[in-house]
Amino acid sequence: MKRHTTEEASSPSKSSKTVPTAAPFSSESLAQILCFLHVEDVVSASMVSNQWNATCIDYQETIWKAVCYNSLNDLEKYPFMKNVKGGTFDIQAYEGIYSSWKETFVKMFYGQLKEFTSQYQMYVNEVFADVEDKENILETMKKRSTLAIPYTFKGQQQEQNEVFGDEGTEEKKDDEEKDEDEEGDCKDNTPIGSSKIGGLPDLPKGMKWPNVIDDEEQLLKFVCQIDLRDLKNYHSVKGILPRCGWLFCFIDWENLESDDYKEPYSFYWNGPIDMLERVKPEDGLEYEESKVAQIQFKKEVVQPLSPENALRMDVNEKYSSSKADLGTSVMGYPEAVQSEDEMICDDRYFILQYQNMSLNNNLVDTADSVFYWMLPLESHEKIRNIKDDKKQIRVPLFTTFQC
Amino acid sequence: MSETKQVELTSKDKVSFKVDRDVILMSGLVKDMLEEGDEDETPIIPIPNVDSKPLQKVIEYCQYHHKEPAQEIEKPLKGKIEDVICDWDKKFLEIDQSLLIELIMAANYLNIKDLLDLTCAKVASMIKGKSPEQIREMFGIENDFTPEEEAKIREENKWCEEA
Repeated sequence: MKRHTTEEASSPSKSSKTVPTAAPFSSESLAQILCFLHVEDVVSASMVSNQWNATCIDYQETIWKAVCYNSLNDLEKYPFMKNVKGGTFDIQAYEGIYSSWKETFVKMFYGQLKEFTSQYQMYVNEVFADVEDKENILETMKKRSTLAIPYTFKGQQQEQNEVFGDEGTEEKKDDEEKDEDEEGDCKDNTPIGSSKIGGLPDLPKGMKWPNVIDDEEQLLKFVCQIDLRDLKNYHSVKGILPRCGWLFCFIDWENLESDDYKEPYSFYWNGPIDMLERVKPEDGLEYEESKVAQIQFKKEVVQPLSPENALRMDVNEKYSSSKADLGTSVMGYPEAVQSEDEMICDDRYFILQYQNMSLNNNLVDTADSVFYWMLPLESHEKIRNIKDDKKQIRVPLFTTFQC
Repeated sequence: MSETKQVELTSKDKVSFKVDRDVILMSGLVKDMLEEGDEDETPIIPIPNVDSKPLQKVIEYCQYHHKEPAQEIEKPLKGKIEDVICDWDKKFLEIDQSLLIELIMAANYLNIKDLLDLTCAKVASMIKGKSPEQIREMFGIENDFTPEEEAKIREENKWCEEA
């Protein structure tokens, strides 16, 4: 072994490590670097490559905490802040960059909360745990939160109101529920291939509706289909699921509580969308169709203290009970898992959580049941790499539910 | 006069450096390892993730800033990094880009916050005001967005570009 003291160490090393050009920085290092930049430079960095873009999302706690806090004295320079003062808040554009705590932070700072609740106070305490003048910031936010600066959101006021607990949406909700009652039950008019819960599946042409093993006349209940392109932002971070194709989930609903229960049937299919067709149960076979709810995935507008890195599954509001719904979400962490259920998650990757309220009680008859779909960790590679002749992959999802 | 206690660091490419224990305690990683070891010996600490060249620079940094504590670097950087760091640090950063990147990784691994801040701020200074294309060119990064992805991200970020 070559040995020298630091005084002698001026001789060159055997070889200078060649830095790979594809990803010269680890995401962790990159996050540290971006903390020194202004908003516009971070935005520019997010457009460099998939890795840089993913880092800006995945390390938001590091990067955006720094960026927002560092910008406290310079906020008026940024366009979304100008808009706030002008009476509008372009959440659509803003949401592309900011998510999670940052939005809450900015909203609080700009007095858009009607009430500074203890929950928000906890949140601010957490965000500014290591900041010396935390008390002053808290006081400023409290004051501003009662100013009630008038603002309107372009487009997504409904979502924002839900997230931040504002009132005034009930009326609209009632109207929509009324409309639904007038329309009648179970009309699946969603576009072919769209992400949805309930209704009828859009299966690859030629594929029969899956049935219970050993019982061809017993159809599995269709739970949901997810167009994986909708999850693209998440994939670029984690790479767990394929970037395109569809994930279909069925469940042996009839036998759910019996000894004959078989594990849920989930499969992945990739191909052109015109190879999908909406399938109805064969005539003569008994099947109770769930109401359909189209799903939109958005970067999560996270409530304080809720988990990071989840995508909010935005089910049509009329299918969701705002108070009772523990949340429908994909990826990230299951929100309502506690105590012994946490152990269930240890060796599995959380995929999907939904509450039966979203399905209008058709799937389960207990109002507060929540389903969790989890993927055994060891099966990740299978999902990405194994395809059979029919381009069909059986995805070994695991489900459990809590009442 | 008592002899200063030393530590021997072994780099990834098997080069050893003897360095004063007090100096290298700036590294959180080394500090933790020393606390677990025997006080009487000259400990040999393998640094398997860091080559000799960046390790040598790390030691050089620690030897200087052990006596002259580094000043905190402002966030965000308002101008060039050279405007906010001392002359010694300016000279220290006169290195090629690949070594700078290795230094970041080394500082991160060895948990030397001041060095990590200095090197990250240097790279941030290089990025500041640059377009995505210029950043790619600077670091030899491939644009791996599909045209659709790039268009979508550009659309999302339009608000900032227009400001």
